[in-house]
Amino acid sequence: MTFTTPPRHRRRRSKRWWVLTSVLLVVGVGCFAVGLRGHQVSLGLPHQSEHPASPAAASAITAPPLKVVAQSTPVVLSIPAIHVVVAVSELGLNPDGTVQVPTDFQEPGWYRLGPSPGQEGSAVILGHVDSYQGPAVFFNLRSLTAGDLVDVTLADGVVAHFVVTAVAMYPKDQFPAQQVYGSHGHSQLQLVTCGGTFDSQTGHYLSNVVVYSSLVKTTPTTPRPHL
Amino acid sequence: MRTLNSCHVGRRVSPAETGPIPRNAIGQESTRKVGIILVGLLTALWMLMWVALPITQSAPAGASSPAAIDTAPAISQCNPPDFPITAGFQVTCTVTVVNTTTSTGATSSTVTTSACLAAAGVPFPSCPLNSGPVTSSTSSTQLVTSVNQCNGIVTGGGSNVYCNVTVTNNVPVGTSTSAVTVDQCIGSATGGGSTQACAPSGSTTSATVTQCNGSATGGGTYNGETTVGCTVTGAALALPVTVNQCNGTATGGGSAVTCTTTMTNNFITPSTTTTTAPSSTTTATTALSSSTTIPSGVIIPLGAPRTGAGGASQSDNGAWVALGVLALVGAGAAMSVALLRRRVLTGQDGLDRDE
Repeated sequence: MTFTTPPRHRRRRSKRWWVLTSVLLVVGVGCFAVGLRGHQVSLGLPHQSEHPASPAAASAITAPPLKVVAQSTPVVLSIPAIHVVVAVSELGLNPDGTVQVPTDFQEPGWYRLGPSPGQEGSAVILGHVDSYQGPAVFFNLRSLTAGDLVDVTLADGVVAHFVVTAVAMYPKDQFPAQQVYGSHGHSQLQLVTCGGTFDSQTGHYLSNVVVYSSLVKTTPTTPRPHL
Repeated sequence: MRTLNSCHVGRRVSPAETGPIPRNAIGQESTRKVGIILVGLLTALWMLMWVALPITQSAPAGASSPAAIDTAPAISQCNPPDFPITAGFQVTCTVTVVNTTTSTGATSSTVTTSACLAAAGVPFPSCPLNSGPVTSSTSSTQLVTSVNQCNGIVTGGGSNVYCNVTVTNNVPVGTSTSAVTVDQCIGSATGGGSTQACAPSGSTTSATVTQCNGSATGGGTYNGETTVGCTVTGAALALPVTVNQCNGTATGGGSAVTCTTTMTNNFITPSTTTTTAPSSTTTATTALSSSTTIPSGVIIPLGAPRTGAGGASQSDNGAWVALGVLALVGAGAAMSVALLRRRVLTGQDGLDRDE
């Protein structure tokens, strides 16, 4: 005796397969899109919420008057706390008056239209927090804390030693350019990168992280041995 | 006894109705099943590529720009294979080049690019198909010598392409210039119902600006826009930059191509604080700071630095991708089964009719 499935039932089963196909298609496309778009990571400061640091707090940087060094181009930046030892390039201004940013995501740049590190005033070194592929040279800058050391080797061989005094994050539309680039009467080094929330619509982060540091000592030029 | 070979094309008969199936018929059946499953899997693979490409394009497109500038002073974007050659897209791409030479001979350039890919009709700056607009701004010590964008893309019809190139040359006063030659809108908008507005006309071989040639040839237009509208502004150029854009693009019917090139020269008087002299071609509006000397006072930059590209937050989420791959492969398999069942049903319907 042979049993055959009624045609209506067979058709219904066939329809079920098409429904399953559609559902899996939608789920697949959705998962793929979500997966490739990635997950939003906010590069905030580990020790404080994303709010502009009060100017008073950021400028309450006490530094003893030190003998500043002569102008010389910085060539190497060293930040032991985040394992950064890297060559430094030079940056100027874009035609629209904004500061240039390094072309190399793994190499920070010194803003050459200000003082060099160790001179009186605020030297500024800018670096990328990440590239299109992943973390860049200043990715861990936000994790620095007061007391961490920052060393800059200058082209003339002098090493300027700085100690971190404050780490702040500012929304880009409230970036305190005068405070970051302007002189506070002694030698400072400001390290600047991006942070906060990444806006995928504009392709930029919404905030900047600024590490303020003050000169604590300079190591004089080491005479090269004569061979 | 009926055999499968005696059935109508595409019709299969169950063993209960036909009795034993010959061995060669079973072989054909297996081959057919394998074929259908293969088609299903290939379809799933195609869907996977279709979903993956537009999303993954965004990062490499932007990422390739900075490296390219340092190694070769040629800018290229919004071309295949990064941008599609199929139908129904809206492409908006811009390149802004600022080349600078100083009286000391130092050179530098700044390039800003923006690339947007959306379905036709989606207004800029919404660019869901490449998660854009994908922008980049890079500086180099080399001068940019060529820009190449929006060529041979979205050729399937029903697309519109907006591409712009702006070149600004900052040069010392007294720098000689050469004429900007044009080769544009040749063999474009040739289909019925097409409209064209190009200025100036020109067909110079190896021209400074080669744009909008052989584009939007499919007839009609997109949403009432001019089928091909292309302009070149600026008659002379102090630093040689060739522009090659919007050629062989949007060749399907119902498409529109709008592309512009603007060439500007700023003649700078050498001094520590430079001034901008009137351009020979277009009035410049930006004042340029000298990049060769360090002034005694600190120059405070405007705005906030842009020192991030989002790579750390755009890292792939492997679990979701793997789940997506599984689901798409499953969809392919389910489609194969559905197709098989449909064929069986079709065959049985035929039998029922025969009987």
